[in-house]
Amino acid sequence: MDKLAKLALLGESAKYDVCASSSATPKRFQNAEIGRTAPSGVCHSFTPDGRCVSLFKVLLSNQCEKDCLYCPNRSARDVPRSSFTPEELAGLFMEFYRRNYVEGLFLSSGVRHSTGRTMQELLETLEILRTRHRFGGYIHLKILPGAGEAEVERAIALSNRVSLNMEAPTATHLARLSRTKNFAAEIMGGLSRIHRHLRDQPGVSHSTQFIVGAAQESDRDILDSTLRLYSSYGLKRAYFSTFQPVPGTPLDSIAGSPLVREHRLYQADFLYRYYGFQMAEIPYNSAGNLDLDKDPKQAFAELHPERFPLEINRASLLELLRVPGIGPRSAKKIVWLRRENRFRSVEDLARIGVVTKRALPFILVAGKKYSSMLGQAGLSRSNYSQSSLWGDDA
Amino acid sequence: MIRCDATPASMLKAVLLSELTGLLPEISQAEAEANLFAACDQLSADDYSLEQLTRQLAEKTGGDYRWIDQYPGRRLAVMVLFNLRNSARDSKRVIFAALTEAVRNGPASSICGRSRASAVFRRRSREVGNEIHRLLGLIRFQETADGDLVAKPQLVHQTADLLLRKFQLRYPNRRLLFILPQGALCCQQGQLSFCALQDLPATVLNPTDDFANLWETYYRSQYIEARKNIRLASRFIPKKYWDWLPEGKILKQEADK
Repeated sequence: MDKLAKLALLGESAKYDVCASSSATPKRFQNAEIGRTAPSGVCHSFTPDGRCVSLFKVLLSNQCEKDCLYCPNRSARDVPRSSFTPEELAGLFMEFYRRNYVEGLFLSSGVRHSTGRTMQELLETLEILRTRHRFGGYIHLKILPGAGEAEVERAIALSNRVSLNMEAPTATHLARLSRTKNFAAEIMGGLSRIHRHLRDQPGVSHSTQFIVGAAQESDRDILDSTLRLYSSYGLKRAYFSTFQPVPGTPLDSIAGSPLVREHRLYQADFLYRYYGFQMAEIPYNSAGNLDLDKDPKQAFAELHPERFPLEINRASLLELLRVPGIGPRSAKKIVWLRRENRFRSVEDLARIGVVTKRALPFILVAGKKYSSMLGQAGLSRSNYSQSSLWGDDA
Repeated sequence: MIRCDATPASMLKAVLLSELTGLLPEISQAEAEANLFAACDQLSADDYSLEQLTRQLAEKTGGDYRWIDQYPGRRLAVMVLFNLRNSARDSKRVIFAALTEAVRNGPASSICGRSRASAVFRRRSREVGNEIHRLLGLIRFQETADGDLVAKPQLVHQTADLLLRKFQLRYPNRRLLFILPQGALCCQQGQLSFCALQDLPATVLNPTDDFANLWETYYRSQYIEARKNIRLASRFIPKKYWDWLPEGKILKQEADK
């Protein structure tokens, strides 16, 4: 298979892996001949689905001995198979990087022959980049489930970010997706190893990915598991990928999850990470899922009318962060600006980035209320009608 | 009238001097020499130090201007620089208004864009910042036989030198060239130089590095059709860039489907 065909095949095989960020500390690999990481991620393109192309995202090989029921690369699926050699992949990546098509490398692989051997090949690719090409830019390496202590340590030394896909929140859920993956030993054991070695390497972080909607898990299951990873395993970020059935896999008859579910999970995750929410404050329905029709922050505000309205000139930063339409940046600006001058009009808020349409029902501006919470809850006056004096037939 | 250079520090000094004297600040330029104000008293902002001016103004108004040497002052200076690089014609009027507001009411108001004038100041600064951030990703280089990296960027604002300096950090051992309508801007080991297009060899003006095919193959491989969302994609890559980027034609095809 020629280089172009391999690139098409192994690029496509990696397209379901999520790696949104490419930001990293620029001090990690100094004296590099080429490449530098940026403190804020850079997107080099966007595909027609609106996803950012930041990293050169390929598999080293799509040959895989695992039989994960959802995976397009599962061993039992009849698809063309191919592999890059470490030299070939490193060279191809440098071609892309030199011309500024990508910000860094995202490298993963199917498990070819054995986990240990595939990990060695992945590490060899990274060694070539860091030593032969003296590449100082961003590398995100996917660690394979079951990778050993030494491999994890070496991977962390060579990367800016490592990740191990959790796929499902619990062992029961994972058993519905894969018969060969061991949740306790391979997944949680792997995450624990990563966490241990990361303590010695400042500037490296780790992330994970969940498949949403394939294992009948609820949003609460996923978010509880995410919280556990943040608090006990030092996880930097969790990614959520909506399950899309792949033809020729045992799960191809299951309907895909709605994309908005993934969006709501990210919103809830951000509430925890940037808005000071506790996971227990996230509103779920009786089935443990987030409301698909409503932003979780909006749902929280509507469920807690006793907390609102808040006076914009007095509310604390944490209180402001609970108002729909006010994000972390706007909240900080409000706190900073009101030291110089009080807010007296809604226009002042709109100019600094507050989404006033959403925020107004929950705030007072200089003691004045501009909008009602009733309208937000869908209880507008148009829902009421004057009764007919003579009955409907009149 | 107070004369100053088109630099953040000089313009800030002119505004401080204006607050002290009541004279209008103006950027020095050749045509201004013969304008209506030519016969008026003229002061040069650069004859005074920033420290001198802030001390005098603090004595006059009782205000606290320590922020000028701290983070808000540095942030405001970057925003002034970006406004100067914006292609809008009335940038100096907006900058002077925003700086005057910062000196009178404190820096937060101008930095956050609270008033109408400072909102324009902030928006224009963001336009330039966004162009730098976006094009840092979208500019694609072609490699010449000598190993130089050449690009033809599509710029709206005057950001070429700022972009080249950022690229130089990524490619420290390469000579980088931007081919612009008015000439070529070159950056090598952090040094910028400008040369006329006719002085450049054909290998630099039209490099034969055909990499677009490989890129298109990769770009197509990353697209998940079930998630198609052209509206979102065009928010990140505005349509004005579609004819310039190699993947623009794929976006166009998908938009037409």
